[in-house]
Amino acid sequence: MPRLSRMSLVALPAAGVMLLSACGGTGGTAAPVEPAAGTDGGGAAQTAGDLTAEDLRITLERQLGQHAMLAVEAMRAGVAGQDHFDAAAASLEKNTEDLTDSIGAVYGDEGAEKFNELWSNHIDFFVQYTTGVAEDDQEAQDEAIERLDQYREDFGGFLDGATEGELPQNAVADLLQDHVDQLVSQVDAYAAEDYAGAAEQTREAYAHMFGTAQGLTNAIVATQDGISGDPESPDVELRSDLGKLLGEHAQTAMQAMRAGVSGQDDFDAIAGALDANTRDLTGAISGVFGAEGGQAFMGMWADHIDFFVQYTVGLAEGDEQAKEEALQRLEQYREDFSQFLDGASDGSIPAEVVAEGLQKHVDDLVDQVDAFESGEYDSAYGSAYDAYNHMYGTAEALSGGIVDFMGGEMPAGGVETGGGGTTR
Amino acid sequence: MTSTARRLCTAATGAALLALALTSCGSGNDAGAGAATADESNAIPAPSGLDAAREYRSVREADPVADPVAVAIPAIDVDGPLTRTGIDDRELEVPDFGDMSWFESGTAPGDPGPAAILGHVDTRKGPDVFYRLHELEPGDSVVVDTADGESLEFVIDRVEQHDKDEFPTENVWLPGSEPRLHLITCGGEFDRSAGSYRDNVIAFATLNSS
Repeated sequence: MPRLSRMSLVALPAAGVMLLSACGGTGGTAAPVEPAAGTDGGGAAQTAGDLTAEDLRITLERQLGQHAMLAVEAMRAGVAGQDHFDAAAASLEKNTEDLTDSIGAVYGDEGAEKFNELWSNHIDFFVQYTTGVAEDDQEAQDEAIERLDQYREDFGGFLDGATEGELPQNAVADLLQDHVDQLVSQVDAYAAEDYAGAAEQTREAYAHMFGTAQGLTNAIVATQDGISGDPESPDVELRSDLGKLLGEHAQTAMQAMRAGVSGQDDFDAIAGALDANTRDLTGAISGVFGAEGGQAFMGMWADHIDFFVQYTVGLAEGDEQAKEEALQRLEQYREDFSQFLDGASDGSIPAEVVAEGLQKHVDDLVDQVDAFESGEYDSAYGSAYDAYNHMYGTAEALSGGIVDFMGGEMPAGGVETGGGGTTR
Repeated sequence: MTSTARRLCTAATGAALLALALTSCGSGNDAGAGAATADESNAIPAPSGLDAAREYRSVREADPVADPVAVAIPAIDVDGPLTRTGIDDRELEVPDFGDMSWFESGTAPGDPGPAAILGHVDTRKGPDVFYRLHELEPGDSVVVDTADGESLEFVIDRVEQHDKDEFPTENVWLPGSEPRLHLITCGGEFDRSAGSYRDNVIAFATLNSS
């Protein structure tokens, strides 16, 4: 079987220009309204010397989270024999290149090359496992698992050495075992038509990568000179939380739209994952604006998801009027939601910033499902790549606004909780 | 389509995924049946995924955790009911002596973000409910009972002591997506002229979701 990296290059020409043109720049420092090319293209962390711990963490989280999602999508397309497999594989390859650039920014070309080799290998082993499942070839599955076991050891050794023992080989191997288990479980479930189980494993696989990225960031910051700032400050934690939730929203929404427009049986399961993400997001927003504000947020958020699904159904049915109505509703949502966040945050989250960010969100999601329905899979995955990365610029803007707003809302100073009766 | 993709497609066609594969293999467009027009749908049965999409409505009901009613901290022999406290002009309302008070203007324990329980370290005469809070260590358990009978276990991550003038406001109160619990009391030297301890002791805990 050809290596995935070579295989996906076959699929690259159509999407390659667009994807490569979006590469580069600094994902973590993107402008929130019109994200820099790096944000939408998923570019690497900044080069060493001007790298902040915050940007390193957010970039690794974004890229590793995307890896998990794209690996899931490629494995599903593979096991189901769907024609968009090559485009999914090419997108995964693009993500690997982005991750390689980020590793290279810290460890140089040699480290990047070694990372790329190991990382590409483990993707190939997942594809081999997928092939084994599709062909009901137990021997091939076992062989792929053995190779993934060896990869865990090799990659653990690589990171152990690179981080000067801050990330011990066995700890990395344990983290990778979870990653392997989650991806294998989801494709097994998918092949068995247990779509709800596959969706649940996918959520876990995505979330797992954020802990991995955090651990990797801490180890890098502890051992590399010239990386400034605290990767775990409260505002970074908030930005990380929102990036994770918004990135999952975009990717899961796009999976649901593709499943809907192509009539796949897993639509309900993916929609369930999208609902779970909406609940999580609502919980976080309720912590900012209270239960009432959270409920208002949830209603509007649910509306916009429904409008995307309405567009998808209209597209599948060739119903231009339904599509147009959905777009008009999305336009109204853009206006209403922007005003809501502006008002609720006393202007700390400006309406024009939200509206502009939402326009790109709408454009990307509509573009990707249009292209997917037309069989232009490279284009679909290119738009999807942008849509996912865009959410991290949105998270940066949103978290910054929330920190500003909460500065005037949080309890001030300490708490008087002592009478002094036990003092001498 | 690459050779591997063809193999995968062929395998799927022959396996349990036959129905799925038939809509996608070799068609050049796995939107396939989903792209059928309204007129064509009379001739081609609508795929179940599209039916599901037609019927789908996004979730609109949050699933908040019920209010907390009691807390137990076995490591320091604390176990009792919770009262409630609030905020007045950005100043936390001080709980009564002997009370463990949930800050109800904030997050409920178990919901995403920081929940807080306040208690006094001592009264004017002797130890109070959170006298031993500073003894907590990472891994210690804090169990919160809710009004609907649920028990939520939090695990202590760390205990910090800060001057009240340098209270770590963002660490304690900034929202987030993970359920957290912060136990707060006084510590450090007692300033007799001000009738107040100089520091706060804060035990940070996260929800044990396993």
